[in-house]
Amino acid sequence: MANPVVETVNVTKTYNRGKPNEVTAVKDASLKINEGSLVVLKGPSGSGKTTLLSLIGCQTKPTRGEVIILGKRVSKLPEKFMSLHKRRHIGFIFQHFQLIAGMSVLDNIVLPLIPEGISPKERRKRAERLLEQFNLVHRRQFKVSHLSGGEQQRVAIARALINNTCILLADEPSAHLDSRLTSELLDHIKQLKKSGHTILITSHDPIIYQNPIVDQVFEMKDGRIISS
Amino acid sequence: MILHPWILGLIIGHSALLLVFSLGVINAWQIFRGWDYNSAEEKQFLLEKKTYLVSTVMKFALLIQILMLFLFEMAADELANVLPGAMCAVGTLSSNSYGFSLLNLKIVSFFVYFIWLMINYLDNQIESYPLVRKKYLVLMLIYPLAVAETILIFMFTFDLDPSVITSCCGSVYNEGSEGLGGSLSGAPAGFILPLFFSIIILLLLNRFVFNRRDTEKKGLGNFLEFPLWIAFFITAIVVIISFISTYVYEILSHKCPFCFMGTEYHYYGVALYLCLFVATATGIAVGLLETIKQPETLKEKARLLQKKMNTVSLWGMLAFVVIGFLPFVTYYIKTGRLI
Repeated sequence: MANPVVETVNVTKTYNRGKPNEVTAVKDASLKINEGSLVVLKGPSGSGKTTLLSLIGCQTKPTRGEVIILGKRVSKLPEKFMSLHKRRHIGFIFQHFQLIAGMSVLDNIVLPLIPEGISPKERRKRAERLLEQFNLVHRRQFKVSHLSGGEQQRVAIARALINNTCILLADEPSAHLDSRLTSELLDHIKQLKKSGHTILITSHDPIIYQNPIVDQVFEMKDGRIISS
Repeated sequence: MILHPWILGLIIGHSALLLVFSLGVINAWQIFRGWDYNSAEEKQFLLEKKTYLVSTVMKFALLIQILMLFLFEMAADELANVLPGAMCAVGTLSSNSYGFSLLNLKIVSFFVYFIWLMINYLDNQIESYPLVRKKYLVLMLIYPLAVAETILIFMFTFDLDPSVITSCCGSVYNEGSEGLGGSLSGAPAGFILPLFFSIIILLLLNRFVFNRRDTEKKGLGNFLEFPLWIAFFITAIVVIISFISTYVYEILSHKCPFCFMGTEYHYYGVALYLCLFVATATGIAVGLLETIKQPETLKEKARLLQKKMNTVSLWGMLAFVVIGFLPFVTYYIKTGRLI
């Protein structure tokens, strides 16, 4: 039996606690994701998918409950240790890519390596490998703002993988892609799964969650996981 | 009270720090009472957020409190210009009964705050907040020091009267005068110097002989650091007043431990005291760090810090001896005799 790489136990996240605009985005969410599996969180907009993904991705802390990544209770870690854990083990692909527009493809990809103190030579070496893998070699020095949506998507994936992370989280990765690019994205995801990555995707796109490569689908509604 | 920028600075500075400290202590009490690391409840998450804020704020507040010791000396030196009879900080401090009490309290606080900062530093190095309750307990225990400091600063500054003639350092630190200053100035070099160097030798023996043996004895050796460094600090102060000052001023009757902190002496005293305070604080820390045994990750970090403190304290002590005895050596080489 595979080991759970990601686990959440009764996780709740409330924003604006005690204020009139208080909202509980995730309620008592519990899930387990095994090593090397591809899991999709599906649900309508506002169902809490992105918040749950952010909690698993150590972007934010829960209001209550536990998030356990690779056996470590990350929800209990002080900020600096949580950031360290995130940098070393989790790659995150954001819905709007969050690339730095004024910087080149290469510079965007190597960015997560800088706080790790990795030498420029090693940074370049790792980046070159990913540029090749994602067919971006010819775009190396292009500013990301000059790239197409599909290319930006690939840069975002490369950046998420540069730290040799074993967990990859993607927030609505097909939201801005046409069907051809979505199929290309699925090919990349397939490759990553084959290479042993544990992948968690939020999506309400049937092309993604109905794809046979997906191992498990969790459905969310009003902040709760209603089925798996 | 004299309306002087330094006095206003001291009052406002201490009041602001006490306010921050008080808020820190209120939060420290909440954290101390409610802390349950294993809980995944909302209350614990809020406390974890709070401890991050409180420890950061207190770190800066206590660092400033430490700096206040030096600012206080500078203020006292500056105020000597408006107090009749005063020549340097000694005149200001001895112009009322609170001056030296405040200075002594500030010296004690310096070491206590340093220890808290060290505990805080260690706690922030480990993922599981192992020292949270202890560090906030210590913070609450040292709070009265900050309160006493602020009360004394008010009493001291409000009691400063420019119409009252105060004593100058020459009369306070004079072998013939009564009181602690006179006794310290009159400490015979034939007694205090051998005692001072004996303590240094004991410290070095403890470091390089005792501490290289097996773990149990090493632990005991580290515990000994604490009383030895306290003894080092006290004897060093006596050596400064009774011996070093004579060769700095090259006058037998002038033994002021403050005058040489000014521009006329190229801030010689600042360098001297800085070495003494740093060496003592880090030396005391070596002994205290020995008490940390659990958990293993914390112990490892404590040992690493202990090593660094070891090095800093030894270099600090060496620098103190070199800087302190430089005027004596220079004088002896120049004249071929002693004062």
